[in-house]
Amino acid sequence: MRERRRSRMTEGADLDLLPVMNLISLLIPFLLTATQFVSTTSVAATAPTAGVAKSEEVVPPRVSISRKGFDLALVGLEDRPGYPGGVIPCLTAGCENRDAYDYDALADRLAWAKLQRPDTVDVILMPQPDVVYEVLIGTMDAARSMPTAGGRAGAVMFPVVSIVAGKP
Amino acid sequence: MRARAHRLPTYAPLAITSMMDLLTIVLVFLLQNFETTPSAETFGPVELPTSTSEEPLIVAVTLTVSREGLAVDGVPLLQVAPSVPNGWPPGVVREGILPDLAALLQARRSAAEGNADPEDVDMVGQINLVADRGIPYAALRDVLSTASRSGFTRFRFATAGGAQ
Repeated sequence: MRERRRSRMTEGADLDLLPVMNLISLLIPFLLTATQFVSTTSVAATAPTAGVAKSEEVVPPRVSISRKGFDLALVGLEDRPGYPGGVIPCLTAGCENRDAYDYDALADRLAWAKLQRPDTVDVILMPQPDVVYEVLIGTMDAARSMPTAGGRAGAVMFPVVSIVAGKP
Repeated sequence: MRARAHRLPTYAPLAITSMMDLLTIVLVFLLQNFETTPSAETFGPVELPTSTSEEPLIVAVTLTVSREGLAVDGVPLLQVAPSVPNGWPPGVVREGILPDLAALLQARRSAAEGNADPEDVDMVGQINLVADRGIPYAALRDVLSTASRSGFTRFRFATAGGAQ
């Protein structure tokens, strides 16, 4: 009798995996539906705030975006040698899509402005009404970081973006 | 012969250990990829522009501008396509303001300001903007202008990561 009881006690019961399987079977469809294989990121911008500019305040670079290209204005730097402000035309006539704009040239010129005024972090974008949204995002990307040989992922240039309506 | 017939219905126990291993690996992989940050709530087909930015979206009011119209937090507000390149059609926009959107945003702002939760207080004045990459700026201008005049002056434009 004692032997029989002992043998029953040492005999391990099978692990009941059914509840675990149920849990996992529920979790996997939930996680599969929640999984994002394309990551959503974001770019920050602000609306311009009204106020009177002080005389000693540095005017940030202004980039007008139109269906002709970019027009860069660097107020206060015009008399410096190598001033790169002015029109940056599109690579193809008509500026039909995002790739038509010359972001590399814009980034190079903004890098020059950053070297002149390292403390400035603001940039003002002035898109025309007919400019498509992806061009605006591309311009913000170009202004955000220094151009490098392997792409635009260098030091931070102008991460604080204000957007105002372009010239009519 | 009879004893053999008795043995036939006996099934071998199902070996689920290997399946459990597989499911556990899949579960761990999915849990690793699970994002707790807010995702872009879309309305209609929206193709996001690509960007080099790696910053996530924030917890805030989400405005979606698609070729079908405008939605707030995934709920359609205006089902009118923004005309190219003049933005919203006359009647929908008045003096650069979308009245329906302005009323809704002001209500949201009042509700958020009255909320004592610090996380909600932080979201006051912030907006996630989810817009189709082909939308003209004229349409966004009216939305941004309306949001700005309603007290939402900080924007986050939703983009698809991975641009070089």
